[in-house]
Amino acid sequence: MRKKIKKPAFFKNALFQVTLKIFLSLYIIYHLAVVFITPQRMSILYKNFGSYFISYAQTLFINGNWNFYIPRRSHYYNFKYTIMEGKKKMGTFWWPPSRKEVNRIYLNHNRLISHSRFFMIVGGRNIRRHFIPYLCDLHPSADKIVVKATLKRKPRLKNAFNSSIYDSKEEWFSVNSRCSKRKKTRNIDSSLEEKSYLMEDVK
Amino acid sequence: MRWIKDIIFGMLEAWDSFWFKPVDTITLACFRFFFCSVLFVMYLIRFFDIRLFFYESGLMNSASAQSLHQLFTHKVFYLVPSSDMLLYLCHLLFIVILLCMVLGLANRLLALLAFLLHLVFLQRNPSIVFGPDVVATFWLFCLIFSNSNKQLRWVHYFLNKRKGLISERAEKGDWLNTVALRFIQIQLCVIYMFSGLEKLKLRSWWEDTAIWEMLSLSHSASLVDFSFLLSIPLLMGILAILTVLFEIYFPVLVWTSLRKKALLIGLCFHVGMALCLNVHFFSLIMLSAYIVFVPAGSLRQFIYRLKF
Repeated sequence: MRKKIKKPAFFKNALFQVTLKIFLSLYIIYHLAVVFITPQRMSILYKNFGSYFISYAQTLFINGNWNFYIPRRSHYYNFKYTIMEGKKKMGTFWWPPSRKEVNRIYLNHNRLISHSRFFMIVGGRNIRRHFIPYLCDLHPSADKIVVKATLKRKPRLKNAFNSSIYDSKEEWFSVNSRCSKRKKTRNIDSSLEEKSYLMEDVK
Repeated sequence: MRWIKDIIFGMLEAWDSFWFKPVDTITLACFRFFFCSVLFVMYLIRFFDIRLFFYESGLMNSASAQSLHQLFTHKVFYLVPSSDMLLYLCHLLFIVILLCMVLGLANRLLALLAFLLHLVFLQRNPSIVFGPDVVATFWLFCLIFSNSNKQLRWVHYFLNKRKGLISERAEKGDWLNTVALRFIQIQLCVIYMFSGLEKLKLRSWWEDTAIWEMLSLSHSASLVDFSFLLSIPLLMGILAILTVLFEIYFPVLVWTSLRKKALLIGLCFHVGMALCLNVHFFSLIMLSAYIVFVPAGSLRQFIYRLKF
């Protein structure tokens, strides 16, 4: 006598539940595809099917390539910006200001570091449009602001053995923009405005 | 044809057992408690600087936020309210809901609200989003599926201590609870897998110099001067190899009988990272997902030992 094939548990429930399981299974398959395909933006699968996945992945922030701590070179991203009033340099500042100077909890200061890293990545046009207006409001007397992106680097390991120089600073790119003389739109956080994080006074 | 049917039915059986077999709600309840506690503290700290981070007068005005959102996302709905007062209330509500989730008072609807509010603040200022926010988004999303509020209900416990903090017998959740648990497990493995594979692409990890580069990163640089490591380069080499091996093999080992060891190594890995790299909250959020790999029985025993 032939052995009867056992019906899988998947189908053992009522029709409604089976239907629900089927829909849930389809969703799970979709989710798994998103999780495995979207982090690989160079892959053929992503190029072909990415458009079906990207909105869902971006909403859940699961499309990152999860490249935590894979520095090509160790960087400390800073902006060095100069305030100009007419043709006169009024001062040069660092962004983000150091934690001691602005007296912030370290976690929130890390967010300021993320902020500068974000603008390093999105580049010059976005710095001009979305970051310099903030600096203009931070320094209401400024006519023009020149922002220089700097990378503070540690030496490579083989150089570190032989060198007494520990940090090096390099300028990456520079952006400048005029501050429009419109009415001040923001009431800047006083802790940032009043605390001096002046890097060097212009002589 | 019979053998094909056998294979298909076998696969369906395995699929059903993995994704839909009810599991004890204690696992996700412990995850919910630990993860939401970390999140509550993290966003309470962010709340102190709400003006700088999210107000119109802060780092990014709403027009810039919306413009950057449209630039970098693909047809993702934009949820952010325009008024500062509304944002303040939303953040306050978000923190209150997180506290409710810690205490076991929040159901799936409140978890959904917490997830949406979390998105509001990520979208309002994308420039200040960092690792813990990104990972937390998906963990919060998974809590929408879970009915973890059936256990570890602190308020009920304090009102009536005789009931106990957890049920005496294993209380099975529904299918969605299992799906949430599996999603978290798989996502943790995916994060490690991609992180390990990405590292393999880089020369510094093959040359064992990556640890030196890593310790010189921005947020760690201010904490400790690691130049003493120059005198023990061998240690840096060993750490580099162990990091890559752990990240690549964790997604495999954690499903085998070596699960305990894999979790223990992971614990050491994240504690080390938290101490050396100044990334405490990232480590805590990653470690919270380890709870979903711990057997429900062990979690019950642990809570009983604490005499709750």
